[in-house]
Amino acid sequence: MTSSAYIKQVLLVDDDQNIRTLAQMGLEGLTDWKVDLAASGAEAISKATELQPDLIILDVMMPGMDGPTTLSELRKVDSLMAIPVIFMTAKAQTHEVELYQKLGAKGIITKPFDPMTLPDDIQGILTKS
Amino acid sequence: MSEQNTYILVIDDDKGFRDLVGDLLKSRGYEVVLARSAKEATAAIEAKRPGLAIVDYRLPEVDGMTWITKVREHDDTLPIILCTGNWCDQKTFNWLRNILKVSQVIQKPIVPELFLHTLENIIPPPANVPTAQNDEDTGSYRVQPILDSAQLDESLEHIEQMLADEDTYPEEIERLKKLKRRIETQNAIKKARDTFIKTLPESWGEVTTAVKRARENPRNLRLLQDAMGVAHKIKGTAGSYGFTKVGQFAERIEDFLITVDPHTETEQEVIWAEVIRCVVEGTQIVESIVREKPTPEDTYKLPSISCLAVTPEGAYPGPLKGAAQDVNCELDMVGSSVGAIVKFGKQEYDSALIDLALDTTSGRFQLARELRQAAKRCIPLCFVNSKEESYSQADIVYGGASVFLDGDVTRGNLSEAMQIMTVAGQMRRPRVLCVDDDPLLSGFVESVLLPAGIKVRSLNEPIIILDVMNEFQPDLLLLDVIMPGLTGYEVCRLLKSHDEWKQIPVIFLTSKSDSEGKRAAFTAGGTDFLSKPVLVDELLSRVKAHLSKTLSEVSTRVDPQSKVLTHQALATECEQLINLCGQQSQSLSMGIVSIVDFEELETLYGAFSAEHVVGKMGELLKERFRAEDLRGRLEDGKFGIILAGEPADTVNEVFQLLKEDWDKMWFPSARGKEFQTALNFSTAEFPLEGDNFEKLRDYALSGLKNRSVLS
Repeated sequence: MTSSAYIKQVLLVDDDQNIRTLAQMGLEGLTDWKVDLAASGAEAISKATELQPDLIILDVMMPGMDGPTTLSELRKVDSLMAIPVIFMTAKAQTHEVELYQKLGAKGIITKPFDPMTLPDDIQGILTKS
Repeated sequence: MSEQNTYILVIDDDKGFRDLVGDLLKSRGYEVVLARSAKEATAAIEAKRPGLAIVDYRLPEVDGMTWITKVREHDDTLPIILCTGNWCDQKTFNWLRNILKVSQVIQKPIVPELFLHTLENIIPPPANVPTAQNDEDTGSYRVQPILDSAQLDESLEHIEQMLADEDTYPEEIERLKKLKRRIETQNAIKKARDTFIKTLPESWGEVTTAVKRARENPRNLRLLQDAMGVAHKIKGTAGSYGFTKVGQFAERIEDFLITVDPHTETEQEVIWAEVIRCVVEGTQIVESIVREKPTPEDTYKLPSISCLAVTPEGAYPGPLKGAAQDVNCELDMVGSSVGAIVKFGKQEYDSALIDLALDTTSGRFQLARELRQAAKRCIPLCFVNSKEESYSQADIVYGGASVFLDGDVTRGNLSEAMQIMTVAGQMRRPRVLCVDDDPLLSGFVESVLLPAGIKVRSLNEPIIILDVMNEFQPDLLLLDVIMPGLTGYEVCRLLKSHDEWKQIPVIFLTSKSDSEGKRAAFTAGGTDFLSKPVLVDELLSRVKAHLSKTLSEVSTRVDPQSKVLTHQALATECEQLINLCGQQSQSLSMGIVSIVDFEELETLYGAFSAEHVVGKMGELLKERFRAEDLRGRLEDGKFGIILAGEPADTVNEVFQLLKEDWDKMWFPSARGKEFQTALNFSTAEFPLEGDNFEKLRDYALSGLKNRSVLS
């Protein structure tokens, strides 16, 4: 519930509109973060360049460019390199978690998630890392 | 799973205690070593590190706390339970918790059952002994009870009212704002959920189609992956919207599909049969969700006030009905005072409007008094002076008029009157104290109880409970069982050891709904328990049930003989009223009445005569005065009445009227003859003669003394 001082702008990337709506509601309702949305990896990269968000939440399974691919694309751009990324996935087996961390993700939010505790979950991941 | 260390060290110089605890633990399969002193304990620890140490506070030579301090120098993680004969103060408690990292503090004498319960939460007994079951309700989604509630809008409305209310404390405003934000978010999510439901059959239909196509083309890997993808997606989405079951079936479908091997025939039929079964069951669930949901939610309105209007036949029925409509009041009308008394005896009304032209009973405002007698409580009253006779302010106050309408009766001033009576009737709202270390749960409790007109205070630090009890004067306690440092059982035992709080009902919030958890709740002195996750309806109905019992029978706030407030409760309520009057630059007066020679009554007229007189005084005080005035018993034959907005001069006249009523009363004596008692009174006015309850009381008491000297 407590909004962190250094997060102002969040970019949320998921191809499922229902998930985008729900996560945005939880985040904007309970924190003072501004949440922008992207429906694909490609859109995520162009929006991130434009907005320079403080955090990107990235769905793993997306048609076309999936989450991990999007992350490595982000890492290639100088201005986007340092933005922390959290993955969102319904699949979180141990080897996958390790893989995502190697890719440079701060942590993982598991689907299904609870919109009312989503801000706390994110804060938890950011404080831990 | 790693090997559990179920070896427990018990340190106490009292053999009786050592043996009791030792036997208790052994009966649960723990391995136990007993030590008489800190020295023995240290030796035991050096020989083998236990999984838990139970330490007595008082030990010969080196005391418990010193020993723990020494242990902590080289062992930061050993779980420790400290047993103490005395309740420790907050400072000691914080030291124990934060510096010495003591897991739980338990008061001696221990209650074996509760002791074991607390201990087993720290280290479960060895595997062969049945332990308390895992508490997670299968698959239920934490937010579900809140999301399913139809009362979010009302909660919000109520919070907004409280925010607009000038006498809401600043620190409460911050909390309310946060709560409001949470509820708003929940509300938005709930609406999004309703929208999502509409798309649910279609999304599930996609799963069905994709599975069917994959099944019909067993060699087509792409179709199989499509089906997995669709199931995967709905698993995350439906689950996040709170449809856990749908999500679970989607997950199972995905898991089974992963095991499908397009290149072989073996066992494929079994897998596909499972997949189809999940699809069918999932479809049924989706259908039932869709069937249930779109029915328009019952528009539940806050219970409005009910009012009986005692007015001459045909007088202003239009304005009356209009006003009732404006303020959502349930109105009933009657054309005579006799009819009114009959109606009141049959039915409960929250308030009454009396046209004084109809008050044909002898004595001033006698009808009002009789209606309150029939109602058996102090309902708010409105008087209409349609004959425009002259009444003094003292008459009006003593008669009990929360509103006095002189002259023209209009829809506007009638609806205003009904609103004032609604507020006056709610002056004393029931109070619930929620003790829980989880602010989310307390927030939830508030959002449910506030709209029902119940005041809620949350307490996250149970160690200061006595202070909060005295200040807040709750009627009921919601107590979480598992809290760091101090279990709910211990808090309950502490309260039950204080005479003042012995009677207060305690509802435990427990995540253990097994029979052992229930037993422990009752052993600790609990009245009832609720299992987590707590459901809206259950919480509300249980709290209401216990409150109605408390408020009508025994409340710690009500003096049992006179049925008016206790001295302590009067003081608390009075302080709040003084604050309010101070803010609004209003006057306030306190009057004290004293039954003359009260101490002699029993000697003169036999046993129970004093009790009888006190009971009659309580009745009279409730039949007279306004609903919003405070009445309390200070001690023996002395009663305090607090009237907001009235100067001492008026109140003196009011008490003169009370004295006249009292002088007409006769009491039965065990000696045969009826007797009478005299009454003295004295007043004090805020702020002139005191700016708090104590000063006003003492001022009035000294006035009382002077008078009795004079007489």
